[in-house]
Amino acid sequence: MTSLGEVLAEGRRIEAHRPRPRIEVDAEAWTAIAGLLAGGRGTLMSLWSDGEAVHMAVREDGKAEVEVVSLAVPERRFPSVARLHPPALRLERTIRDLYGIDAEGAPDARAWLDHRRWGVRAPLGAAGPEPAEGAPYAFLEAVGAPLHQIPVGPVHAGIIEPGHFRFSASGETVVGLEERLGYVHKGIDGLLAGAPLDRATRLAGRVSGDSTVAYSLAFCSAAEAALAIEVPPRAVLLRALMAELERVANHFGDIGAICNDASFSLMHAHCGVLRERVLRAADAALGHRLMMDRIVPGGTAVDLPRESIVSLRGLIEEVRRRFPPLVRLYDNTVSLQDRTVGTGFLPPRLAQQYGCGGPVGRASGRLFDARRALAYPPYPDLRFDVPTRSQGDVDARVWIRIEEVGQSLAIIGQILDRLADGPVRADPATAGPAEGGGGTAREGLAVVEGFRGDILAWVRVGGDGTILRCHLRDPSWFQWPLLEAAIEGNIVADFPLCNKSFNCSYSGHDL
Amino acid sequence: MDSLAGNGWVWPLLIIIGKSLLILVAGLIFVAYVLYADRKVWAAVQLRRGPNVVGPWGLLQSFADLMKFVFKEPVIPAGANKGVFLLAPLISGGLALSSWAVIPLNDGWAVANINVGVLFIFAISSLMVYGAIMAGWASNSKYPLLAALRSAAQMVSYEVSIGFVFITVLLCAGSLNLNDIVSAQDSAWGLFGWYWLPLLPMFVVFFVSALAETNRPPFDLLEAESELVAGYMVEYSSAPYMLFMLGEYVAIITMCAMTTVLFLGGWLPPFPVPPFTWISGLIWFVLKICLVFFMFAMVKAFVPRYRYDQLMRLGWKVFLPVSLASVVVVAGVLEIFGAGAHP
Repeated sequence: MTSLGEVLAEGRRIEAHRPRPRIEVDAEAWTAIAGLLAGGRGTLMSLWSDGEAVHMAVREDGKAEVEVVSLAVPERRFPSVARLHPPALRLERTIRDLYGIDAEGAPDARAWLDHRRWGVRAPLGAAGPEPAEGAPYAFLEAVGAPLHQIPVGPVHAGIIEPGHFRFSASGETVVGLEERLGYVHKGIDGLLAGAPLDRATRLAGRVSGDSTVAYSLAFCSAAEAALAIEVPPRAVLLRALMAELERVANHFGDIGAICNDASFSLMHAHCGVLRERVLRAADAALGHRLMMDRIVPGGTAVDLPRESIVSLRGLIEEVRRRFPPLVRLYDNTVSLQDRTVGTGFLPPRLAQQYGCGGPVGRASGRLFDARRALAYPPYPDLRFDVPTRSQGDVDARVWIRIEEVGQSLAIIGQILDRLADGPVRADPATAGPAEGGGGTAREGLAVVEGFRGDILAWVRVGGDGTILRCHLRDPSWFQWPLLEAAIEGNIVADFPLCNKSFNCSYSGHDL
Repeated sequence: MDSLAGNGWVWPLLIIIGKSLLILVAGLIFVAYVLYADRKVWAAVQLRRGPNVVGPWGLLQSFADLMKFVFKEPVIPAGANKGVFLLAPLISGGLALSSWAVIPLNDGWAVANINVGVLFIFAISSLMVYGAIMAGWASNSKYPLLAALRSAAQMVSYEVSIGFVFITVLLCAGSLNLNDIVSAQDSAWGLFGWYWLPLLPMFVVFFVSALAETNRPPFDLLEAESELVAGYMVEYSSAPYMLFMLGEYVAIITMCAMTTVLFLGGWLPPFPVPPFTWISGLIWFVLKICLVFFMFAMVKAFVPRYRYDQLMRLGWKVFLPVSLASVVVVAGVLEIFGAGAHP
């Protein structure tokens, strides 16, 4: 049986793509790769288009590299990957919405991000006029005598993002859930195309506000790979410091919010206090609570003052003192466990098939953490564990986050120990020469681990330093579909718990 | 005047009206501060400060809220059944207040010292569910309707256990009169002679059922805000909404008072010796209500909400058998050892 590597070896290598060459294949090989993904021989990391070709990022299990495979689409259609491998479905629907490129044989012909309110069709492709108001979105129906539908959203009772959930329920039991997303589509791909590097960096940092560090890091790493910029060692450590602070802050928010959805507001309040301590420490040390725009191509925009090292150590101490009693409280509150244990079970098989990253995937036994699996600096030099569980329920997702807080604190401590003096930003003049002259486009890919999971960034930079195309893939793309599976058989009242334990990004997904 | 005084029923009527007004005013002011205390306790547990702006330490917050509710315009949804929609909060608030007619604040201090006080309370709390059902139905909206159905099932389930708890207490006291129930707990043993000790399992069942009966967290399923927005009250605003809130808190205080009367010796001092006996029974009664309410508030602060099926399971599969068995055991003990077996 052929492996992913053997199929890729037959393609044409595009050397301007870093860190690994991009591989151009024909339709036959493209379909063969889709078949291998469906057979569990690799993981689909993303699927996108730049208008002329469709690209697929794939990773062979156990390998530290992510390969990008391309198929030129002069006739504006390509063989559907989703036909064989369902995780690609929403990405293919998005490609059609944005570029007007069709996936042939795709099992779902409905629009995804395009709600027919843009005033234009396929805005990044052969932008055409929007058709007159068509039929309303056809939700998949669950039919049967006692079944009824419960529409929830897009406007929710709370300060959360918009998304529509259509439940088919039999009494209180959820028989099926269908999501409708796209309400916060901002046209990020269009805004990024043609943007200068600094503006593109700012845009990338705003794709999903709670992951601003991870997005900036992913985008800058991809741009640096394309432009062959070497990041100074101190900046590498500072970036990891920010990423871990962001992870700790968000995990505190999530742990508290999950408990709050079981009306355990005590935990929510105390986790909120801890989250606030982290955000304030970040503000004092790096000048911004969420550390937005602190990561720039070539390094970081700010340096860490010497006195902040002491205050960050104080933060670690404080969290290590105050968090364990909260964890015991969570563990010892039996009626809370009654709500979380066994609720919202995500089968490990599905987590594996969808390449679901982050705490959601790791709570269902998928041992993947980009920091460890893809070993990007500085993580190979740091000691940390990647916690996993196999229960796949809300409780497991809480525990993964609890354990990751401990790991991140340990990482922050090691970074503070290792932080040596030095520059924090590479001189742009050190950028390596472009292959085959300064005028050609160069491409880069990076995957970093945000608090939700692995964020993939792919950029094509023009000879003049502007971004020609950029694709940012949020981990939520492969988590949202699984929420539909996890809620099945649970009661409607447990949906807030399940949803919060996934905590997918609407903004990062809707782009 | 002569003719007025000559009618045998006029003065008693005026006295009853006077007593009712007195307990109404005192009760509502008490509720205002109970609400404040509830918010303060909740805030303290969450490391917040709670109401602290209106008046010194926020003491006038409840009155500011009252003003706001009264002066806002009530919004009635277009599809709602207007009559029933407005009647529901009145029923809810009115019934809650009326149960205070039979509760003895001190020896013989009740608006109506009737000899079926327990039944009266039981009947009133059973009728409370109508407020919720009418509101849910009349709103003509999905969430209130679902919440109303939940509330009906929930209240009915827990009333069964509460009924059996009542029976065990009645067996011990030998009377349906609330005044007599408190008097029956009066002994030289002081607080150890009150029914909470010999009937400890019933005390626990009653306390938990009282939480469920009044829809307090962790049993606030009919207004679980993360699931059903605000439950059957979601379409209500201003004064009608206030009546629901008021009814809810008055019902909670009633349950606290019933816990005090049935298990904590009502107006009796903890020890029947000076200086405890120097203090008025009314003060002891209020202090005990406050103690029970503090327990209500703490439960709200740190017990997560139950799932609907868990709530039903607890009611029917745990509390009902336990309380039913207790009735048998208590009746058996009383039969074998005589009615004097209990202190």
